[in-house]
This record gives sequence, structure tokens and C-alpha cells, in this order.
Amino acid sequence: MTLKSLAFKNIRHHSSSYSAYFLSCIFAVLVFFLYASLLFHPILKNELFPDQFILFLYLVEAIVALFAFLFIGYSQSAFLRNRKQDIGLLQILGMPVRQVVRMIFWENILVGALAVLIGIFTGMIGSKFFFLAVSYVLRLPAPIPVNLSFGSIILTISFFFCLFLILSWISRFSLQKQSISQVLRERVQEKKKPKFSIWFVLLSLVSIAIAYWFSFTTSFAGITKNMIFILVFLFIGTYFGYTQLSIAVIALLEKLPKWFYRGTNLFLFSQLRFRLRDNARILFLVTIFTSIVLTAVGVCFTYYIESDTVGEEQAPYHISVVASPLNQAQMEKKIQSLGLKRTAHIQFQILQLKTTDRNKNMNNPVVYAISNTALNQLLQQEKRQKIMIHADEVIQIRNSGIWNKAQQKQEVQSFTVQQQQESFQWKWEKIMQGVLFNEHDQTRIMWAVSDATFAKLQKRGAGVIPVEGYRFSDPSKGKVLLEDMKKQFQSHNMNEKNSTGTILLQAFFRDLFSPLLFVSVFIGLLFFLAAGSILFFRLSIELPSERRQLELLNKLGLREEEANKILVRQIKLLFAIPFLVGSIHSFTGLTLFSFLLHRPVFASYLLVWFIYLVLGMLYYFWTKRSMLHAIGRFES
Amino acid sequence: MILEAKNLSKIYGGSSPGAFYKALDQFNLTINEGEFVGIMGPSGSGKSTLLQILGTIETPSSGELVMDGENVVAMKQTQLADFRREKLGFIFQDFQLLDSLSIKENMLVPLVLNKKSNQEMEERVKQVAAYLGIEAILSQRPYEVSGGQKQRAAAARALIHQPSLVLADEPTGNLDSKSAKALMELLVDLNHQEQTTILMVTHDPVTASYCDRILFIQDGRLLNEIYQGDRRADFYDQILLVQSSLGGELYDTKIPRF
Ligand SMILES: Nc1ncnc2c1ncn2[C@@H]1O[C@H](COP(=O)(O)OP(=O)(O)OP(=O)(O)O)[C@@H](O)[C@H]1O
Ligand SMILES: [Mg+2]
Repeated sequence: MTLKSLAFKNIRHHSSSYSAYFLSCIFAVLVFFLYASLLFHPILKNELFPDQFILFLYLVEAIVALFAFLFIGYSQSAFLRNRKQDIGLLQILGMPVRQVVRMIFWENILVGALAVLIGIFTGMIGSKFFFLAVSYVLRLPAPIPVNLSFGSIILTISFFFCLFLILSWISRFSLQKQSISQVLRERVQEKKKPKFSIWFVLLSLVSIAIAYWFSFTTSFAGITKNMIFILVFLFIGTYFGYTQLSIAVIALLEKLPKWFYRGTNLFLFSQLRFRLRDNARILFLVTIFTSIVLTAVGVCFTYYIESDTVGEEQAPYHISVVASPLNQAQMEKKIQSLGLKRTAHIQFQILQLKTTDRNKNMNNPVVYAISNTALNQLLQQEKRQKIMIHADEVIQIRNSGIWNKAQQKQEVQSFTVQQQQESFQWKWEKIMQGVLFNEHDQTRIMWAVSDATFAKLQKRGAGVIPVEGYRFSDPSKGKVLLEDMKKQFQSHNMNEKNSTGTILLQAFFRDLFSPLLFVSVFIGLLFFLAAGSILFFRLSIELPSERRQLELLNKLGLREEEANKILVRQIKLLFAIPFLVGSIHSFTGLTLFSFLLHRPVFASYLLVWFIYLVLGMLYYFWTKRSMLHAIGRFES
Repeated sequence: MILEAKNLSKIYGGSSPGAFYKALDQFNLTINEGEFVGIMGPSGSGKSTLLQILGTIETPSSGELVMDGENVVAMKQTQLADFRREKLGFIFQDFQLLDSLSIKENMLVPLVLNKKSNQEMEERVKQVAAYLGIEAILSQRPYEVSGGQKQRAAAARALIHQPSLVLADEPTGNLDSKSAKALMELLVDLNHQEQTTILMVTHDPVTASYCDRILFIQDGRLLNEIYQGDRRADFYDQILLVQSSLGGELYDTKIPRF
């Protein structure tokens, strides 16, 4: 027997607690390898792939790498704690720390090498499907051929080798800190009854309330600003929720004596009180993982599914043209020849002016003004209330989905524009938000003035830009017209962006969210497995003390099935609590991110949620079976 | 002389003021080669603390400790590990066998750590297993054998590398009287035949009566010391006498069984 065989026997003995860890390791290797093989694929040199996509791939690879590092690091420290007793004993028998570290290194390398081997092997088989999926998502004309690059294999192997090397090296410090005499002490230590502070309970509740309130009220424009805010409050609230609020709740439940002391509830609650505190950090982590997965996949999936509706809402006109090179008759002819039936048609003029109040105009020196009549026309099409503008007044129109549909008032300011050395100053109080017309450079921020003012400005020789928009009964045919218009603009050496339409926006959202969905599903699965195996570890670490407890209860006359029931109920709670809290969190997350939808779309979210639930149940049943099996093995 | 301890003290919880506890107080002890020494005393009197300090698992707060001519207090962690590995053997109340290994492999651990050759390992296992009568269970796992067998396996592990000093903390604490007697007879035999020095903590007067000498400790201080005479039964009576003079209610005196 040698040190190496000692390490090997250890792994074999702990194989049941290693299995969850092993599975997640394999999956981390698999995902890392798949993205690496895409990164090393010669096809990336092709023009087909935009630079952003390749950058995105690097980003995903970095996330997977970081994740692997944190997860495997966490698992290792959990294992070390699990085996404190064994390792401490070996140290007492004279094994120096250096040798313990070497043993752990060998164990890591053995498990790691196997995981890397299996991960790469399944990756090679799976890469065909992975590439197919990528080709589909990116709408490539031909699927990416399978290419076994040496580089990706080397990268994967060397990355994980370094990772295990570094982690073994880190384990040295945690081992040195540990006092070996602790091993010989009474193993069941008296635990103090956990207490809670009412202030922390309040902090938790208030933080969660603030986070939720913000996520229900924040619009797209405010999202980057409030995002950090919301996250911080949510993290704080959840963390103290587990460490403090949970104990407060159990303390409250204890005040209900009759119900509380019925059956095995007594054991369950007294255990749970310690359990929740000891496991607070793990529950917190798993909750955050669950929230992230559900929110990311839910949002991406929703937008992917809803991209047609979102496109239609963001660009309500199937085709819109600014400064058309064609005259009215020519346009009419084109529409007829394509057999399109108009359901709506709008035409108005924009005046182009200059301003010194750039700061009030999103830092743009060019002002685009429309008349009151034009504005009312637009409002009517959107079924919004008409408005009356006074001669000395101006209204800012923020025509984009990033702002909530609303009409706001602010403190009265002045807004000044210049037209050929002449200055015009108006009173600015109202802001009109929401999509009124397709978003062009000229229609994003507009200023509406009274008809009289508009006419005066026009007389002073302000540049006039004609704008028109159409809706058709059969939008799909509009695509031909849109392409034709773009050609017209190009042939006149004008900006083709002057013509846009619903279809373009719809395609934009699909192209944006399909890769996002794809990536979020992969990373989501990784997180899911990690969350599951963290719980699995935790349970297998606590198993010995659990067993002692159950054996004691068994001796005191509790039947074995009932004792097992207590264990099962604990496992159930450990799985269910983070899932429930994470679901609620992600639900508010979804409302936060559904600004472009003007309503949360629950059907698609529920589908994602349901799939997660089913997967979680599978993981739960597997865990339950393993734990009961492990308990049974030692009882005999 | 194999061990000499001077003014050993151990203070727990010194880091937080007000909450420290003197588990060992100016303790002096000398053990000669080949002696079989017992330590008795009420619960919490510092017996295990003393044993752990002598076993270099715990460091004393102050005092000197020389074992086998080496100044143990001055050693670094790695040196201490080497020292334990070569010179010390441990037997614990709760056996402390590794579930991942078979009985034989458990016995081999000290030899593996000492990097002995395969041939030597096999020879030693055969020898020690025969001596302790555990040949039949060598391939079994610790959770598959009885408590007495487990403790014999643990003793085998403590002896297999022929240490200069064997430290045992309540080795019979988890055994029935028959297994306890068998184990004690083995230890006495070993002590006589191989001149192995043994230091044992125990609560049980019967177990203690196998020793050459017994130290009584209370509140971390040496109270009394008695020596084995010609007859073990007399020694046992003497132990009971000392115990009752120290406040017998602290001990669970069992009916003697010879
Ligand atoms: N790690 C520690 N931290 C703080 N106090 C300790 C620690 N270890 C032991 N003590 C205290 O030191 C005193 C002596 O402990 P020790 O384990 O040596 O007693 P003992 O004589 O072996 O008792 P027993 O017969 O019950 O095993 C006890 O009061 C104990 O509470
Ligand atoms: Mg003790």
C-alpha cells in the first residue's frame, strides 16, 4: 500500500458523496470544452461571424472558467470539512501537512482527470449537436462542420489541471489552520440556540420590499442605474432572511404549542432551527443561483418567443420612410404593384432647427420639431388622448420603448431654438413618452409646437423633412417593399436607415435573443447542477451526525420509517425553500425586464419555471434515494 | 528514562480575557523505559489534556517536555509529525479506525507513512495480527467487526511500527468487561515482553489495576501516586481507597471482576 492507493481508496469510499460533485465537474468540463472547440474552430475566421459574437464566446468561456473555479473550489473545501476527522487522524498518526496536501492533490487529479476525460469525450460526441444548434440559432446557411481541434483539447486539459493544482495549493492553508487535537474531542458539540435580532429581521424585510418595489416601478431608462441597487437590496434581504427571519418565524411557530408538538414536528422544527442557521449561506447561494437561472432563461425565452409582438410595438408601422426619394404617386404605384392593402397611412412633416440648449435635447444640437396636428395624428393612431399645445409652449416627445408610456410634467423650463440668427424661446413643461412612430434618428426625440408656431418656423425657412408611415393587412408582403425602399435610398446615395419597419425590429430582437437564450440555457444548466450538488454535499456532510441522531430516536422508540421521514422532510425543505424564494425573486426579476413587453408574459416564464421544477424534482429524488441508501448501509 | 515533563501547564481560551481555564497546572512527570503507567482522575481533571500534550497533538502553554532525549516543545509542526510517526502509538476510546480501509490496511497506515517496504509490511502485519488474534478479520471493514475486535485492530495499528511510547486514552471505555480484560492482558504482555512503554488514561479501577504505577490527578494537578505490589487484587483495593478519599462519588465504581 502506498500514499496513492490510500488516496484512491478514500475516493472509492466516498464515492456516493463524490458522485454529485463528479457529475457537475463533468458538465463544467463539457461546457468549457464545447465553447473552446467553437473558439478554436477555423470557421470563425469566416466573415459570417460578427466580432461581437466572438467576443461573446470569449465572455461565455470566461464565465464558465470562473464558475468552474468557484464551484470546484467550494466543493473541495466542503470535502475537506467532511473528512476533517479522517485527515486529522492521519495527521495524528504522523502524516505531515505537506503529505496531506499531496494526498489531496492526488485525489483531485484522479477525480479531475476522470471528469476531464469523460467531459471531453462526451464533448466530442456532443459537439455535432452543439454546432448544429449554434448554426440554427445564428441562422447560418450551412451547419458548422464538426472539427476536432487539438487546441481546444489542450486548452481544456491544461485549464483544469492548473485549476486542480491551484486548489490543492490553497487547501494547504485551510489544513494548517485546523487544530488536530479537535479530532479527539467529543464530536457532538453543544450548539447554542440560535437567536435573532429584531433589527436584522426588519432590515431583511425592508430590503426585500425596497428591491421588489424598485423592480416593479423601474423603466428601461432607469434599469442600469437601479440594477445594482435592486441586486444589493435583494442580496441583503435574502441573506438576512435566511439567517434571521427564518429563526424568527420558527420562534413564532413555537408559540403555537398544539400544532407544533404534534407527531414528529417536534424533531423537525428543533432540527430545522439549527439547520436553517447552519445552512443559511448555502440556502442563500442556491436561492441566488435559482433566481439567476430562472430570470435569465425566463427573460431570454420570453423575448425570443415574443420578438414579433415586441417588434410590432417598438415599430408600429410596417414601413416608415423619412425624406423619401420617391414622390407620393411613385410610392402609391409601388404599393399597388405589390398588391398591398393599406390599413393605416400617416404623413407629416418635421422641421430641422438648431439649439443652444443641447443638454435639454439629449446632447444633440439638431432639433426636430413637429406640429400639434401631426402629434395628434400620431396619438390617435396609438389610441391615446389628443393634446392642445399653446402658442408659447413646447412638448418634448420621447418616442422609444425604452421609456414607459406616460405623459409627465416637470418644472417649467425654457427651451430655445435658433433659425438663421433668429431665436425662439418656448415654455417647456410637458414630456410625452412611449412609442408613437417608428424610431429613426429624426423621430427619437421630437419637439411638438403649436400649428401657428410651426407655420412661422416654416416661413422662416427651416428645413422640412417629410415623413410617412404605412400599415398593411399582410405585413409579410411589406418585406419586399422595405427592401425596395432601402435600394432606392442607396441608389440616391442616402442613408438607408431612413427607411425602416416592423420586420427589421422583429428580426433584430430574434437575432439578439436567440444566442442569449442559447447561452443562458447552457449556463443555466451549469448553475442548476451546481446548486443541486451543493445541496447534495451539504446533506452528505451532515449524514453521520444525522445518522447518530436518528439512531438515538430509534432507540427511544421512534419507528425507523418515521425516523427516515424526518430526514426526508429535511431534504425536501432544503430543496423546496430556495426554489420557492428563487421563484418569487425571479418573478419580480421578470417584471423588471419586461419593460419592452408592457406586461409580464407569464406563459413562457411558467414553461421555463415548470421545466426547472421537473429537473429540480429529479435531482431531489436522486438525492433522497442516495441519502436513504447511505443511512441504511450504516444502520445494519 | 524515556519521558520527562517539567511544570507543564495548559490554559484554554486564553485569547478571550476572562474566559480562560487552567486544564493543567505545573505538572511534573517522569516515565522510565518499559513502564506501564496509568492516569486516573475525575471527569474534566485534565487527563486527556495531559495525554494529548505528551502525544504532541496539543502544545503546552508553558513547561518543558523531553522525550527520548529530544526537546519536543521546541519542534516545528513537520518535525512533530515525524516524531509522532516514528516514536508514538495511539489507542483511543472510540477506536478511530478509517472506514475507507480494511482492518489490515488500517494497521498498515503507520508503516505506509514511514515508507516501509512491502515485504516488511507483510511481515509485520502477520506478526502483530497473530499476536493480537485478529488474523481472521484482516480483510474486513471496521464497521463489520465487533467493538473488541476494533480495539484490538486499533492496538495493532498503535504497535505495528514498534513505537517507543504507546498512549492510550480510555482504551477500554467502549468495551465489555471480557474484551476489556483481553485487551489489558495483551497490553501487559506486550509491556513485559517487548519492554514497550505505555501510558494509559482510564476511569475503570479494574483496567487501572493492570498498571505498574497510577497517577491520580485533579484540577490539573498531581494528587497521589501508587505502585503495584505483588498482588493485583491488593492494588485494586488500594485504587478504590484512593478514589474514595478523593471523593468517590465522582467515579462509577463497578463490581470487581477477576
Ligand atoms: N479545546 C478546549 N477548549 C477549552 N477547554 C477545554 C478544551 N479541551 C478541554 N478543555 C477543558 O479542560 C478541562 C480538562 O479537559 P480534559 O479533556 O483533559 O478532561 P478529562 O480528564 O479527560 O475528562 P474526561 O474524563 O471526562 O475525559 C475540562 O474542563 C475541559 O472543559
Ligand atoms: Mg478525557
